[in-house]
Formats: sequence, C-alpha cells, structure tokens
Amino acid sequence: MLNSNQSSATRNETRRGDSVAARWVRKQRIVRGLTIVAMLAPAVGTLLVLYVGPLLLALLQSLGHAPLYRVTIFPSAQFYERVLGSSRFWISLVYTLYYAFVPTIISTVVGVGLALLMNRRYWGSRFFSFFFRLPLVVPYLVGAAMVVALFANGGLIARILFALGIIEQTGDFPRILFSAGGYGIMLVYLFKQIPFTTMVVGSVLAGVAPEYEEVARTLGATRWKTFRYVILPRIMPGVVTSSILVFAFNFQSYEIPFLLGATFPNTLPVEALRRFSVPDFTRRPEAMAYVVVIAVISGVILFLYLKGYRRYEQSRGGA
Amino acid sequence: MCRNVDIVAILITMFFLPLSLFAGGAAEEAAVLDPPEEFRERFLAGELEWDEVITRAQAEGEVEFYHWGGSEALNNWLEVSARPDIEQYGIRLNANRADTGGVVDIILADDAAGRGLGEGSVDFVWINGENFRTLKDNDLLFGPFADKLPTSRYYFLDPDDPRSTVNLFDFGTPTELMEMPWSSAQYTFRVDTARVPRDEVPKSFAELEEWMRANPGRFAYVAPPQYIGSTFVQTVAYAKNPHGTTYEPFQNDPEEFTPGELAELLDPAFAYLRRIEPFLLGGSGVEDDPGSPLYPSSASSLEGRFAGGEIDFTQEFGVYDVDREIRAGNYPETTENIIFPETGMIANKSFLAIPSNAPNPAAALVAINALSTPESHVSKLVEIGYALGVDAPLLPDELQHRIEEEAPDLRGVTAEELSAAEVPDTNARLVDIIDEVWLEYIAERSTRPFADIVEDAWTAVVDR
Amino acid sequence: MESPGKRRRKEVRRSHSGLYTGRLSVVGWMAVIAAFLAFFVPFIPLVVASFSFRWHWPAVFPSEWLWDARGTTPFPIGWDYLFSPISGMGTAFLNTVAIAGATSAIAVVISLPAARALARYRFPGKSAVEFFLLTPVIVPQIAVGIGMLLLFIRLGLAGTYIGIILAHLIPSMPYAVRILTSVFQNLSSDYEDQARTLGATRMRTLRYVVLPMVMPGVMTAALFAFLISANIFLLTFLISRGRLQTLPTMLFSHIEGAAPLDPTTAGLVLVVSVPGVVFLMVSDWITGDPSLLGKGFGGGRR
Repeated sequence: MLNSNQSSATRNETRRGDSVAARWVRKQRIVRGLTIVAMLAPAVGTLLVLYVGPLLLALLQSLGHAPLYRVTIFPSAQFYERVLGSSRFWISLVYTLYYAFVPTIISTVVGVGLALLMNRRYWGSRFFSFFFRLPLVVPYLVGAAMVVALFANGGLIARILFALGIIEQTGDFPRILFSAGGYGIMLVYLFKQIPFTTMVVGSVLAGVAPEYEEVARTLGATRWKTFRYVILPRIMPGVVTSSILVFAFNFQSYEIPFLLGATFPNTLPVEALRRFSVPDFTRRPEAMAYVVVIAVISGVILFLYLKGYRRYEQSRGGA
Repeated sequence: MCRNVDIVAILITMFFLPLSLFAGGAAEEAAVLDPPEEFRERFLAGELEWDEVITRAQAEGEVEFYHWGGSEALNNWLEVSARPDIEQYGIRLNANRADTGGVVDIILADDAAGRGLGEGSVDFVWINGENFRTLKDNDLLFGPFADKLPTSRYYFLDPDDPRSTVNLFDFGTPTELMEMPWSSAQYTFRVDTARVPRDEVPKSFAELEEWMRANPGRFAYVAPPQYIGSTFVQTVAYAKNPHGTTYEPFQNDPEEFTPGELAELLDPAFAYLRRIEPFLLGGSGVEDDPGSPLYPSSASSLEGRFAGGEIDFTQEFGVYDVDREIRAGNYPETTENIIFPETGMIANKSFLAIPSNAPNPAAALVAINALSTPESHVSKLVEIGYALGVDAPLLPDELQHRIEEEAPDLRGVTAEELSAAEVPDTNARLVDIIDEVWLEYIAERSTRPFADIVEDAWTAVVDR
Repeated sequence: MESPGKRRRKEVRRSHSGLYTGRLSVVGWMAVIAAFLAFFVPFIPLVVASFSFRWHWPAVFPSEWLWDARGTTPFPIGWDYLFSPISGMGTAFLNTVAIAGATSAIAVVISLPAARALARYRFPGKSAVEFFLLTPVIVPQIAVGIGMLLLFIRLGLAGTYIGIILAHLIPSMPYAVRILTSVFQNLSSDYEDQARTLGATRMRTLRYVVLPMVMPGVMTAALFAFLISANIFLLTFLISRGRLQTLPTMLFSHIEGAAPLDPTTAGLVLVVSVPGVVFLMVSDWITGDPSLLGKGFGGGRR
C-alpha cells in the first residue's frame, strides 16, 4: 500500500513507542484511506442504491414478498416452480440463447475481418468512417425501423422483387420478420454490432499492429500466420470485450425481439414483461422470477466465458 | 421479512431524502380546500351544487387524463377539441398517452403506497373490460358519479330500461355508474376490395374458411389475450355455438357452467381455429400441417400487415375507422367494412372512469362532464369517426340531423345492417378462460384432450 | 480555425504504415463499399418514405407525396404531424436532450473522483470496486428496470424526470468511469507535483494544471454518457409510466403498429438519429479521432 520506506519506518517507530513521526504516518494512512473511500463513495453508493437495491427487491418479490400485489408468502419457491416448470420458459430460453449467440459470432468474425481490412488510411476514409459509425450512435430502434422498411414481406426489397417478376405476392418473399427464425432480430443486432466490433477491435489494432507485424513479416511469416500468431493474440482483449458486450446486450434485449420476433415463442425478457403486465396481480411475482433467472443465466454464461478466456491467456503465457 | 424490504427502502430514502421531500412538496397545495374525502362523500350524496364542483375544480387547477395513445387521430382531436372544452373552466388538461393496463398499474401502485383521494397520479382514464374490472375488484374507483353529472340526461342510465344495458354493463361487469360512456364501437372486418372482389367477400365464418383455403396465407388474427384477438375468438365462439344460441350462453359467469359443458360449448370454435391454422398468414397452406402461422401481437401490428399488403383482411372496433384511415393514407382507397350478419358482430362502449386516488377529483368530474356533452361527442364522430357514447335518441333534433348529414361514410355497410348484427361482449371472466384455452390449445399446440385444457383454465379462473 | 482534433490527426497520420495498416487493397475497397451499402444506404428509403403520402404494396416508389395530400387529410400527417404540437415530438426531443444532459453531467461529476481514485491509488479490493463499477453494462436492464420501477413507485419517483435520470445513470456511469480512469492514468502526476513544489495550493493546482489537462477526456466521457442516455429505451419505458416521452419511447410505439414504409415513423427515425449524428460531429471535432467510439466502448489501451 504505502511505499516500503515508509512502512518499515512505521514499524520501527511503533516498536519504540508512540513517537510523533509514527503518529503522523498513521494519521496520514487513515486520511488517505478516508480520502479514497470518500472519492469512491458517490459512484459506488449510487450504483448500490440504484441497481443492487432493485435487483434485491426483484429477488425478494420472486420469493413471495410482494405486498404491492397482495402476495405475502415469503419465503416460497412457488413462482420459480411455476416458471421453471412450464415448457414455455424452456422454449424461450432456447430462442433467447439462439438470438444472442448467432449474431455475436457473426459480428465478431465479420467485425474482426473488417477491422483488419479497413484499419488503414485510404482515400475518403474520413467520409466513409463517418457513415460507417452511424449505426453505433443511433438507438437499436432505428435499426428495427430500417429492417421493417426493407425486409418486411410488404417491404421495399419484396416490392423490388415483385416489380422484377421474381415473386408474385408478399407470401413468396421469405419470412424474415415476426417468425421464430428471428432473422429480423438478428439483422438489427448485426446492423449495430458489426460496426461496433469493427471499431473496438480496430482501435486495439491501431495500437499493436505496425511494430509486431513488421517483425513477423521480416522473419518470413505468411499473411495468415502473421494474423494467427502475431495479430490475433494481441487483439484478443478487444475481441473478448466486444463479444461480451454484444452477447450481454443480445441476451437481455427487450424491444427488438418484442417488435420483430414471433408472438410465440419469444425471448425471456419479452416473456418476463408480458408476465409483468398480466391483469391478475397475484401472478406478477412470476415476472420477478423470470427476471432473476435472466440475470443468473446471463451472469453464468459471461462468467464461464471470462474463465475460458483466462485459461487461454494462461496457456499462452505458459507456452 | 418485511424488515429486509424496509432496510432497502430506508437506505434509498436516506439517499434521496432531499428528492423525496421535493416530490412530496407538491401534495400540499390543496390545503385550502375541503379534505378530498369529504368532497367525495358530499358529492356522491348529492349535497353539492354543480357550481360548487366547478369552483373546487378551478382551485385544483389541473387534471391528469390517461388514454391509449396509439391513435394519431384521437391525439389530434384531444388537442384541437377536448382541450379547449376542458380549459374553458380554467382547468389545465394533462393528457398522458399510456397503455391502459399500465395505467391500472399506476393506480394500484399509488394505492399500495398509501396514497388516497387527492394524492394519486391519475384523475381519469379511458377504460373498459378487464381493466375496469380490476379497478372495481380492488375497490379503486371514485364511486357512482355518472348519473350526477349535468350531462347524464343524454344517456340511458335507468336500470329498468333495456336500452341502458350497454351503458351499465362493461364486458358483463356492472358499471354501477362508476364510469361514464365515452364512445361506442362495433367490431368489423375490413377488406381491400381491390384484392378480394366484392362477390368473393365472405359473409360468414364458413365462407371465410372456404376463402382462406382458396387463398392461403392471406388472413391473420391477433393473438389473444390482446383484446382484438380475443374478440375474434369470441366472435367465432358465438358463430360456432353448438346450441345455435350464438352469444347468449356467453353472458353467464363461469360458475354457471360445469367444465364439461363449457368444453362442449367451445369445442366447435376451437376445432375451427385449428382447422384454419394452415391457411393463416405463415401457415403451410396444406391440410393438417399448421406450418408456423403468425399471430400478430397487437391490433396495430395487424393493421400494419394489412396496409403493407401482406394480408387482405384486418379487424378492429370502430365502423368509421375505414373512412378515416383511407383519408389519412393508411388504408388503400378500396377498403370496405364487412360483417357476418347471421352470427353477429360484437358492439360495446368504452368509458371514462375516476380512480379512488385521483389527485384532482373535482377537476376530473368537470372534465368528464365536458367530454360527455352531445356537442363533444358529435364533434368526435364527425371529425375523427369515433362513434357516439351518448345515446342518439336523447339528443336534440338539430344534433340528430347533423349526425345524419355529417357522420363519416360507413364504407360498404349501412347503419341498419350494423345495428341488426349487434351482439354484446362475452362475460369478462369467460374471456379469461377462453384466452387461456387459446394459449394452450392453439399457441402451444398442446396435445392434451381439449376438455382437460378447458377444465384447467376454468379452475384457474374460478379459484382466483 | 483548426480544430483541436485536426492537429492531433496530423500527428497520428505519420505513424501509420505496414501490412495491416497500410494502403487499402482491392478487397479492402470492396469491404468499404459493402459496409457503406449495408450500414448507411438503409437510411435512404426512410428519407424518401418520410415525404410520401401513399406508398402501399406493391409500389416501389410512393404513389402520392406529402405535399400533394396536404389539406385533404382529416388531420395533419407525416412531417406536418410530427412538427405539430399534437405529435409530442418537440416535447420528446426536449425531454431526451434534457434527460441526457442531466444524466451526463451527474454521471461525470460522480465518476470523476472515483476514476481519479482508481487511477491514482492502490488499495485493497480495488479490482473488485473496478469490476463492480463496470457490471451495469452486462447486468440485464430488464432485471434492474422492473425492480427499480417498484422502488420508484414507493418513492414517488416513477414517471418523474428525476426518476428517469437516476435510471439512466446506471448504464451511462460505467462508460464515464472507464473513460475518466484512463484519462487520469495517462495524466502524469509530475505536472501536479511540480506545481505543488512551486508553491501552488491544492485548489490552484486542480484549477490550472489538472483540469485543463483532463478537460478533453471529461468532454469525451460526458459525450458518451449523453449518447448512451439519449438512446435508452427500456428503462425509460418502464420508469416513465407513459407520463414522459423521449424520442426512443415515441419511436417504439410508432414502429409497433406501422406499415413498412409509414411516413410518420420514417420521419421520426430521422429525428431520433439527430443526437447520434451530432455526437459524431462534435466528438470528431474535439478529438479528431474517428476510433474514439471503439475506445470508449471498451477497445484500446487503458
């Protein structure tokens, strides 16, 4: 904590009794500790109250303490039993994972590729980069509106195909929106997340590429080998960060699956909010059980992912 | 266990004490007036003159109105017409656009937080059906005010007069004068006659099925429990009633059936719904293989598909909608209303209700009164095609003339055909059962015997 | 005038050369064009749609335009509707900007001391604190949102500006903390020490030495927090209870029921994108670093 001079001095002084210097050092240490606490308090306190508090409240309600809804059967696993015992939950879970993982994988692969291809100076790069970053700074809902305009069965692409005589009616156009396949949902995610991954990986790449790559090439490595053994390990932190953020978002997203998914089945967050708005209030804590389960599953997946990444890093460090 | 919650609450309160004080400050303004509870009692006992109500309303100064905000036409009318009608009394109208279920939540949450009359957030709300019943069951309504408004003379409210039924029952729930009729609506199908020639337009559910088989993938209905989907299923249930009595048995409470009787009553309707599945939007188009039929999640989502050319029919409440939506560019110009005359099309009213924790109860009464005048209803009809909540026979002659002359075009049907086909809603608790059955039997494609599914849904609703 | 960013850009440019950082290949150009098509061109049909009146299946172009239909409709439509007070778009825009501005200011003020502590001191439990401050990014918003709604109802904060701003702090603070921490890490303490040695008071050191050096970083953090807040849907939707509309909640209700090329929705999409476009222009001007977004969202070195 303190530098070694100071702490050894402290120890010597203490042994000899309460000298002035020792007291001064101890006081300094307390002051320093208090300063750190005071500096951290606003941020940590705000989050404790604003987000740990609500999570605890949701947990309490899911266990049967919901006087607001005239439910006071704490502690009871009744709501969890009802949620986990219904087939609709498990179907939803499968679809939630599917809608979350597929775009994460695609946007990571494509994003890394684009970062490698585009992370350099070219004519008009500032112009293109401005528009390329647009999806990042608009809400996901903007992406949803675009996907509807283009890919709905009565949307612009279907109309162009109709005009060209390729399809005869809206039903001939592949069903991209509002179906369990979730292609519309995933298109919106990709619209936002490919540029996102590209930017995040690109900014890491900018910091590492030139030096390492030059050395590798001098030593005669092929393009692929340079990427695989020199570049990739160094952009890994960026890849991991972006894919974690992307997955965490996709797993908990509400508005996009609600707007573009099938009515049944749909994702866990949509099911949770649907349960939160049932007119029968005594069933509301089911929504809380959903919400807690969502938080737990998302936490477990991210934990496992990070653990896997740690192991990868260690194995690299050991080699 | 209460303690845990309270610790969290105390922590939060400590953190936001200044804020809560700030928020609480607003509640003290009504100090000069009578306590709201006293006002309520005296008003409901008929001890107050209407002028006194207006005076109090002016002192309250504003009124919080919550309404479904999905209609641009209505939003527009509220600004242009309703606002001046209310503000002429010196009351500021705050029109909040919200989902009606969400409003019920607000009222309930205020109540749970111990906020009584004069302290809540909602002064009056546009409401009907299940949401009204939730408020009533939880004792969250202001009281029987409807017959005490000066405009009540334009409404049939006498329980002995059969013409009052539609004003006094809301999805089978007695209103007990705790809500004021605001608009009426009849369920209709709409078809684009450019896509479906007039001579092919179905006139019954049997003909609809034939048409669907000939044109697979061009029809859809909204997933219950969303009201418009629920109404479709109810209409099918009326039509397929094995006793041939259409809507009649559906007026009863669930307790008046055994589960077996109910299953028998509903069986033909649900067999029909399963039979048409392959021919719905997204269905396989092949007998016995449903494919993956799409049930839109809301009325507006259904409308969007219709306007987008994906389906040829849409359904909604509101006979004048077709005219308005054509003029607004939302429907193709060749759209027309259609009805199934023999088995009936559901007609009902929607209402304005005051919750028991209205912050400005007098202003709510004055505002509802202002929105209940014949002039206001006629303007709503003429300008945006919202059918009358007032009862036309009670209106002065010149307004009746104006209605005849200026009401929007009915586009494909006549007023006589509509009123001949009018049937009432299903009992609200039966609706719950039917919705549950739909979710399991249709949405989840359960393979359990139909009678078991009905029995479980019946038990769940009756035990509640 | 030369923007602060332009100067930095010139410096950056000189350092770039090599295989993955050199000139663009043919494949690279194809990627750029494809990306442009995929990520920008979809905005164009919406611009067209926003000026249309009737654009029904199967028309590839609008059959009637807004200016042809004006006056024939029972109420204003398209842009006319959006810009009339009835649509509430003006209010929603102001709400969005006010809420995002307040959120951004509060997030930065709260995060500044924490970021400085994280950058400057080593103390037990530091990595736990660091991790805790970043978790809101990955904790499901729906989980926080529903619980928070119940709390806020109890406190009378549901449906108020204060409630929404507090809710918005959760997703925006982690970014502010992260960006500011790296700002303080990059800031050498030598300058501060020199100033103190030369006899400047703590306050004066802060005012004349530290602040000017961290100002661009603070601006970046504030911009990010603003952007995050301006784009939030779910938390606003839950906490506002219909009493307050922001641009995202308004867009949500429009998309829900709209036909594919509905003019009002299309217009609203363009308006909702305004804060983001302003963000891009301002951030480019301040920092001159187009990769800022990537860094801010978690890439790059701390």
